[in-house]
Amino acid sequence: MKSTTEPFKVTCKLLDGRVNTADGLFFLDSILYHAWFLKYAPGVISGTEREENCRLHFGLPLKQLSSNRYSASCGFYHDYGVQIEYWNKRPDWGKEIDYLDGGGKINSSSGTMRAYRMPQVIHTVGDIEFYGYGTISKIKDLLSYIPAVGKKPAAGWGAVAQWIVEPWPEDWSTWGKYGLMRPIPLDENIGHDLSGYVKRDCAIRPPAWKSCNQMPCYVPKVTA
Amino acid sequence: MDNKTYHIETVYGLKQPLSHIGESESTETFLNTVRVLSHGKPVEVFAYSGNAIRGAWRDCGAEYMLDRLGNIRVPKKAFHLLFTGGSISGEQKADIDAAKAMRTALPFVSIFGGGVGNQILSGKIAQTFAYPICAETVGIIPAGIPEIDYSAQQISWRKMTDEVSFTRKDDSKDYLGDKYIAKEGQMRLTSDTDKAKKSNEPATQMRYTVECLIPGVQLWHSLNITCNEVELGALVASITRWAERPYLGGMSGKGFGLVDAKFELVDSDGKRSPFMLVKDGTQALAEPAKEAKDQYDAQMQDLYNQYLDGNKESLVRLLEAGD
Repeated sequence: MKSTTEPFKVTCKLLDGRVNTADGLFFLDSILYHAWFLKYAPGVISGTEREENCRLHFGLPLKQLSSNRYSASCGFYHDYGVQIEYWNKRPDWGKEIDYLDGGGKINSSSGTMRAYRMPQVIHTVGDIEFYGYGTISKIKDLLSYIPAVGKKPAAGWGAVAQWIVEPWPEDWSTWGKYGLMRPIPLDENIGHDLSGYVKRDCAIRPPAWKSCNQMPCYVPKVTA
Repeated sequence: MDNKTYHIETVYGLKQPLSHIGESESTETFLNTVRVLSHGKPVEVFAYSGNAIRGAWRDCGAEYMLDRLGNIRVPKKAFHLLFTGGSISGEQKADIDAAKAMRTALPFVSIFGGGVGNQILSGKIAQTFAYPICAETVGIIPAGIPEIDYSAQQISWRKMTDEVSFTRKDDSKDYLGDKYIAKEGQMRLTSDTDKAKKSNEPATQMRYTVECLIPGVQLWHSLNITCNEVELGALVASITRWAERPYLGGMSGKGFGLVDAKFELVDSDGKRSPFMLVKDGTQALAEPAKEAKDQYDAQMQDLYNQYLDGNKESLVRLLEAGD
């Protein structure tokens, strides 16, 4: 049976509401991009396989728009507040000394072997809502590969309790309930006045870390 | 070897008070708290850091691996990678062959991750903090776990804490000092000014107080890992080594932190099956954990044999430079 594309809403229910993010932006297309590699080419994520050697045709189950961007919004949520939390890296040279070959001095206050106490910006948030246009069954499947959102899931932040994907009456991937729903390049006309939005460099398609995907954009306000 | 996703949930039962410091004021330390969302309301609750759990397992896993490799000693850089995750210096690179070699040869490094040479190898664990079973974590802790005493969800975690005070005594000011501190003229290493200072200075002793969770409190923790069976074995081996001294938090030397723990595998339908058990100083592995650990042990034995065959340098180079 041929799958159909339709407008949808994704609700990300966090386990404890705590998520590690400095700028507060979550992109559905980036999350699905990561999930696609976790499903079809996990070696690319773990660094043991070259992307060009995968011999797989990459494609997200999302409608593609002009500028090769996808029909997928940012995440919108109610932010209950921000806390600074820390993760520590404290080499216990004394305790495990029996496993160390040789002697000498170790500088744990500077240099490559220093101890860290790294501050992290932790938001306590409600459900994160995303909107888009694509194939719901495939989106559900890809999201099942994502156990956490935001930074440092290995240290315990951003655990997802449930992903809910449901049909939605309208395509709100670009403009919808919250106004601007995703970053839009400054020179793109979407038929709405964007002059009140923050302008900054932002990725318009995944992977967001690649500079070729970043450009000056109008950026939505994602918190209620 | 195929990757599979394992979801492991753990219920820790405190047998001693638990100290896990968030902030301190003067000589008093307070438990670490975070703001969680419970039933749509933000509330403050104690949380045991996921990074602390992972750090303890990493130390134990590194010990286990080096012991299995014939109790070898490693240079500083390799030590730093194994016990703390290492660091990178210089321009970061992506060396596919080195990453593959490292992940295959050392499943322990593959699951915990680290900076090897100039490359970051990502770890494979995603987890939560460990939360107490209490009123504030209703909605976070899953229902229907047989080990959990859900009646604790009627009580705030604030009523599950205690303050324990200690005295650090300056023994030089009592009869021990009189007896064992070198008297004037007996010890030439001490200068005259030092002697004068010592006899005049106040006692360096203090009373300090620690906020702790009380024994009997249960903590719930969850982790996800997508890995092959040997890597799962490396995780099991790390936890079994930790389970030989099953402590959470600080001050184990003062009677804090001893726990029992029950680890369960939870499948995608929510069905639970035993994985590991740590109780009253003993531990037991269920079949999936035992099989995975046996595979890991066999791989470590192979590596040890290669090491004995004169490949020590290549192993150390792999750990130090990642190639």
